[in-house]
Amino acid sequence: MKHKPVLRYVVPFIQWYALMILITIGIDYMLHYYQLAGVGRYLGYLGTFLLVFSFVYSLRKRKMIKSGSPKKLLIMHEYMAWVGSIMLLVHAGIHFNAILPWLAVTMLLISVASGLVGKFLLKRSFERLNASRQALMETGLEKEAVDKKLFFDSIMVDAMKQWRTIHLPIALVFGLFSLLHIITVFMFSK
Amino acid sequence: MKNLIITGIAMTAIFILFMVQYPYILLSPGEMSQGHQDIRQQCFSCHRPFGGIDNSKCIACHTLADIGRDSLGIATGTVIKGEQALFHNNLGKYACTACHTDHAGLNPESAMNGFRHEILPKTVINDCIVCHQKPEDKLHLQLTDACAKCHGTTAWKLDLAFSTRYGATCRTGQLRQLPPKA
Repeated sequence: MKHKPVLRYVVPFIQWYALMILITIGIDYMLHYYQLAGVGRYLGYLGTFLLVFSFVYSLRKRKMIKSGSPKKLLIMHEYMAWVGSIMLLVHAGIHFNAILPWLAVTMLLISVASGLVGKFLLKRSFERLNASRQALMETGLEKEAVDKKLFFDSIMVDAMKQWRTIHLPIALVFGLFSLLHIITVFMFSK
Repeated sequence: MKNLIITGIAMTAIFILFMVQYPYILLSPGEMSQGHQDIRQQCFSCHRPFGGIDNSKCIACHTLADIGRDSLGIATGTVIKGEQALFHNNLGKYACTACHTDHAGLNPESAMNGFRHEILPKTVINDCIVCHQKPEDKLHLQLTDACAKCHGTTAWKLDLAFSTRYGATCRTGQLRQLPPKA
């Protein structure tokens, strides 16, 4: 029985997003319970590092680096960005003062949502291209070469192209707000 | 990609312009204290860019020798040992931010943290009534100003083992003065 798209894509999207929020609340609660709220400041560093490091995938995709499996690096980007986002959300906490950091947090939340949309779009693309797999295998190509060809085909299909035109600007704006926040924190910290 | 980068640079430039015009609302991590409300848009009145908060910035308005002169009633002569209470004059080697901060709310009291009795000069640390008012209850009226015999500097609550060594004893509802030791 074919599962409806809502069950295959929308529910997992909501689950990942909700889990991120729930884990954030849990960590925040525990830090306050054990009077370790000050740790939140350093989670800003850790979360930023995880997010920045996850962009090794972007370098590989643009062939700025030659080594590494694009598929594995994409998975690494997804998980490191998700975990890094949790760190950054705990770092942000529930404080409403300056506007700039909150613009950065807002863009973070939108970026994660956008990223999860891309994740499930890619999943759908893979499933649709799976039908081509058998045909390619029958031409005599090895499995690894078939996977590689299919991966780059998946991320280049139209839906993914359109998604990228949204995800990249969102990520860029998030990056700019974060950078300005980091610079001003160092500029004004005592 | 090129368009994206150009757009990003333009957006950053515009946002930096906003930050320069409205730094308080965009960057401030908390409300300024009452006395600093008129300089809340002039961040560099207190902050040195990438250099923390220099003592000279605070002392530009708050002269060390005069700190406390109004709040301790020295100007009106209501504090007994007025000049001794102006201990900030002896704290030049410490950073102002060791005890004081801002962006913690309108109440100036909330800007005080990190105070330690150990930083006070000896003439002040052993003379509690320079800063603390002696209670005017029946017990304290019968006692000398040797506060350290009962109180420490870490907490207000008494941690006192009963002893007849002191000038008075306490019983429920009754206080009596012991004669001095022979």
